[in-house]
Amino acid sequence: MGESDPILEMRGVTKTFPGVVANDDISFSVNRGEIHGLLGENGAGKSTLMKVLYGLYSADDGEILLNGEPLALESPQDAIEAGIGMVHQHFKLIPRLSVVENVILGYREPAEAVAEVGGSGPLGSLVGGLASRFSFGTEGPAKRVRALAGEYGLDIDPTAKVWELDIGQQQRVEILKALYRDVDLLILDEPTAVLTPNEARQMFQTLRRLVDQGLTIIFITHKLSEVTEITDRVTVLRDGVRVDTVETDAYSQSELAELMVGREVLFSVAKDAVPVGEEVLAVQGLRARSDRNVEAVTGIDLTVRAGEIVGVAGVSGNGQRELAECLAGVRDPTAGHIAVNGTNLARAGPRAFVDQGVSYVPEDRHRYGCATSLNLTRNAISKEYRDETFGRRGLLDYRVADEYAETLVEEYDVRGVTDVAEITAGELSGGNLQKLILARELHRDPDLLVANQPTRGVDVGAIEFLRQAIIEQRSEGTGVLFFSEDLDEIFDVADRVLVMYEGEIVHETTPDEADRERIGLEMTGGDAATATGGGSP
Amino acid sequence: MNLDVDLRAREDVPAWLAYGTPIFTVVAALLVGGVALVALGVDPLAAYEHMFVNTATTEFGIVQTLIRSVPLVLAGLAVYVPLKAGLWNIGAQGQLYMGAVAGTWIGVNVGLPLPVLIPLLLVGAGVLGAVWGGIPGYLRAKYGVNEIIVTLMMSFVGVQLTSYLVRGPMRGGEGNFPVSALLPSEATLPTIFGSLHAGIFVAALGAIAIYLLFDRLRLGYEITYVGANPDAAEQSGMNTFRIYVFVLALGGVLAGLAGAIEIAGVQGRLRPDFSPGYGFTAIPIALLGRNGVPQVTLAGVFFALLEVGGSSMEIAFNVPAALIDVIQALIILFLITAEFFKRYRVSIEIQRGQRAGQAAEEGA
Amino acid sequence: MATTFVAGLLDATIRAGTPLLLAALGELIAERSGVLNLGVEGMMLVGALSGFATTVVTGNPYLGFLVGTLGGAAMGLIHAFLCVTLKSDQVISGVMLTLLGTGLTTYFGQAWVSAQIDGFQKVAIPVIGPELRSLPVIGEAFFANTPIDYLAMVLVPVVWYFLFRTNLGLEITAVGEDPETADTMGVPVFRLRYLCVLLGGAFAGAAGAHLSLAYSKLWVTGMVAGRGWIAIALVIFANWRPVRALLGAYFFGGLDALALRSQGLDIAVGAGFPLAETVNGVLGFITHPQIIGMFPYVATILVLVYITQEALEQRIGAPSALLSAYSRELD
Repeated sequence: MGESDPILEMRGVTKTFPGVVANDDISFSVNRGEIHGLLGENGAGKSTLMKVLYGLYSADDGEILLNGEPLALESPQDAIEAGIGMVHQHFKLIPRLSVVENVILGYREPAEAVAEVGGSGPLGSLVGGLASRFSFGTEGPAKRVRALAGEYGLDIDPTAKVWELDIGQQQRVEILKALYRDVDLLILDEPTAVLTPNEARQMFQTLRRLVDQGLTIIFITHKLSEVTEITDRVTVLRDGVRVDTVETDAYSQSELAELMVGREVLFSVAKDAVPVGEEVLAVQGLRARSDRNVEAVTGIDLTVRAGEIVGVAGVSGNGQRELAECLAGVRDPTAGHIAVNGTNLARAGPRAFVDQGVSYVPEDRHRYGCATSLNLTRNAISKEYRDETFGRRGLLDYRVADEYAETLVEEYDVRGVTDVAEITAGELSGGNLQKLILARELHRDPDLLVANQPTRGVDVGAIEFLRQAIIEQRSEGTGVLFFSEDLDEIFDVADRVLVMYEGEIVHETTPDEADRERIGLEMTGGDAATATGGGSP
Repeated sequence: MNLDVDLRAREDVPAWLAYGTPIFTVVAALLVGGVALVALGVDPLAAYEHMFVNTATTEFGIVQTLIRSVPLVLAGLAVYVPLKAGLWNIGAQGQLYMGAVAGTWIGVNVGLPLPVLIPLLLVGAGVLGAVWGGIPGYLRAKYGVNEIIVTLMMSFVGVQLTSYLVRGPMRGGEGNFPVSALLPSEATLPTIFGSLHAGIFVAALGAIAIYLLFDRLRLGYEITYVGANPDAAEQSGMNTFRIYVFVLALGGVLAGLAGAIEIAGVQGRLRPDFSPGYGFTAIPIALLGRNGVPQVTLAGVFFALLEVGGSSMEIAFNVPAALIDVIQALIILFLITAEFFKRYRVSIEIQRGQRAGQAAEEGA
Repeated sequence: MATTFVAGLLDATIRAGTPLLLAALGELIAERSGVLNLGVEGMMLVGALSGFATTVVTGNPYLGFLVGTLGGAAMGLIHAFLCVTLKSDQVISGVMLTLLGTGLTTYFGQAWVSAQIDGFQKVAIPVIGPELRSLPVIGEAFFANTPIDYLAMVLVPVVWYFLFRTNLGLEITAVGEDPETADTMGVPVFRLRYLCVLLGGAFAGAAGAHLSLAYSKLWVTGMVAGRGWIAIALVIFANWRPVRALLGAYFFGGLDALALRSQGLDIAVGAGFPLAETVNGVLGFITHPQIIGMFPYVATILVLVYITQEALEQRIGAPSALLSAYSRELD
């Protein structure tokens, strides 16, 4: 790539949130005109670091230098004025407005006709102020947008409404927003997360064209294949710390995977051998769409037997959530079968799954797993309250419910609870809430447990307990299917390991036979065949 | 001079704030109302004394308060039940009118002895009220149509429909007045004490029934859970569709009963504007009593006391009873403001001149 | 005879539609920024009384109109403070303001009930007016109205231009759709919501002042008589667009005027018409004043159900962030 000509330097940046150090003294620099990758697993700190750069967060420590000048950023507007633009993973677009309207929103350009009137001086600024608020031309900006689009090869109709565009086009509008404001440095946050492989390829072409025109790009991703395809250099983050910054060409995918995933082993959990029984879950040809109406599950076959734990490894965002929701009856698949204990339940609704003995621990425990404003008792019984032990013929005895909640709290070591009827779920810490949720799901001795990222955002002590609880449950004959980004966890807990990437199962193995590096590669879209070669330009 | 206002979300609410709030808001509202009294040249203390003491200590006052509390408590519950599920019932007024229509029609046209006729007309009122509430409930459940607007619209439709019926098909008075026929004695609620009618039992039973619903029944649990988190409720296998329709229909039943009782127990015949805004007063009542049925009941009785006291104050001091509406509105105003202070702790720092820079650093 | 009826109806329609139009324009602006104002009825009453009282005291209806507008704006300010700053529930705040407005105006209004004023007189549009005024049927209706009626008509293109052809208007729409995105783009969300709710209150106050100064030229307790609620319905019926609000206001106003006049009306088909009895029965039913009075509300429900259908939600429909309080999530 030639001499280093840093356009951006971040020095010693540290950012903490309550309970977690998201960025720990991170320093790195980006050269002008390069595509610089920022690689790491979810939770490594990539997004946080870029939000600091973009003025959305303020760092606790450290400094940022742009073109050698220190920056003081208090808001995204400051960042934009400095020439830094960001394309977010979740688009900040207003569907009902047109492309041009979204691009110029907040920019407050006066209409061309008025722009020159008044000149400088106090009258001029008064006129300018009024004009910028009360006039508006879309013809001028539309022309500019069209010109920009042409210059950078972004095929977009400026007058189209954003809701009419597909995801790839919407992303291009996001890029146009930054280009319109004349940025020199463009940050892209996991841009291919919502794109099809074809659209992703088109986007890469766009990026190359942007760079040809003089832009510098920071590309946040967790996918190895993208790093090797598009980046010149890459900085790898892990657990909030910068591991290294390397020339992409000089490293193989497996070496990058090693940097990214690491070799730490947290715990070793004791596991007895348990005889495996009948099939509790049989999935065939399952397909499902995400909330954004993009196909997220692209054809899955899998089985889970009583007494076995199947761990699905993969970075969150590859269809795990949609698959888990289908298996709990919360989402209707578009095709395929889901047989629980032999009964096909696809599209049958959550109640059918609950009644068939399926328990579900969702990824977002506050949004789907509990009612934060209600007390622990009411949260504890939400799956079992229809059972006769709580009352017959429509009655519900809250004393029995309280006792049930207390049993759960005791057996599953939920701490910080004085009175189950007084404490609300929202008052529990993450780890304790998760223990309560898992207690609620396991205590009913389900035939199948579906758990999505069960130990995410949970303190270390609780993690150990949760994993142990899952393992013990399998001795009761429960079949477990759990999704996790943490390879160590998968290896500790699972009997069989599946790897999920872009909506499919791409690899199947067991902890004993598995090659950890290979799995790391498969998880991040690396190609095992080219793993030992270099990346391709 | 620099004003630095800092907002911080509270972790928990101090006891004095949590329990004192209803009292503070009432006192504050009365104070401001006092200003309005002074504006019209009336001694506020004398007026308030007359309003409260007179009403609460005379037999007449107590009886009138209890009579007035019947529709207010029922209507308050009609808003309370859907609120537990997270839905707003702004249409209690219309449901009330429809109940009155049904009750009057049955009372006038069906010839049966009292022990059968009264329950029948109450049931009819409940059914029509349920329909009036169930329609917005269905639209909300099935299509996600905003129930605030639909219940509100249907409220006015109900009032207009009543007006039409009473001028047309249901007209029955002498001459050309737009009133219904007088209810026969078989359709009139028996009185138990002075003019206090048996409707008080219906209100009491209604309150008890709703209390039991939420204290003892599975359905009440589901309603509460849906109101707290409909997504999590769906995932637990609860049927939010049915719950949405049910709570608004039940609200309609309660309001409908209130309407029928008002005719059968107090007014004796249906007039186009027989209800002075009970359906809207129900909203503040449900809010004051948001924490439970006993609180809703208490709020309903309190508002009844205010209204009866207001009427007597109007006569004694020649001051419009509308002051009561003002006081009720102010109670709500102060209640919402207090909500804010319960959620956030506000600290204000006033810094003078040169120390602004240093103080700003410390306060940040 | 028919032409006199129609001419009179048209004339009344314009005058009946003006308060609805003014109030609806204001509510439209507020809702576009994401705040529902259920206090319109109370604000209109305050505008009516304060305007009337001022005119009685000063003899100047223009001053009265101004005071009425300011009175509505003051109540709008309360609503803005509660909903935007304190992030209170918009429904509660709005209903409370209606109760407050109703109570305050009934309480203080007693003294003004028998007062009399000249109020606003009908004037012709300058220059071409006097000629056009004598046109049959439509002459009086369109070319001889009080200044406020003309103001309302003129405000329609002004509001349209403001919302759809200015940067501020674009930002207001954005705030009503997705305040978080707007905030990220540098749009002053809180300030804009305050502005819009204030305007909503001001317009409502103006609408009320029209009622007491131009429409009836007197004060009667509760004289707004539900027009505030109709205005809220009208905004939905007009799909949050100013020009449609104009059409809708005159449509609803026309229904109101028709209801008043329909008592004497006897619309019936001849005996030879197929199913004559049933048809006449239905006609008799739907021309009944109270039934006509229902039309705006039923129409609104139907429109609301229609536009909530998902397929259409993107093209038409309520501002997506209506009713949601916005708070910037800090670090």
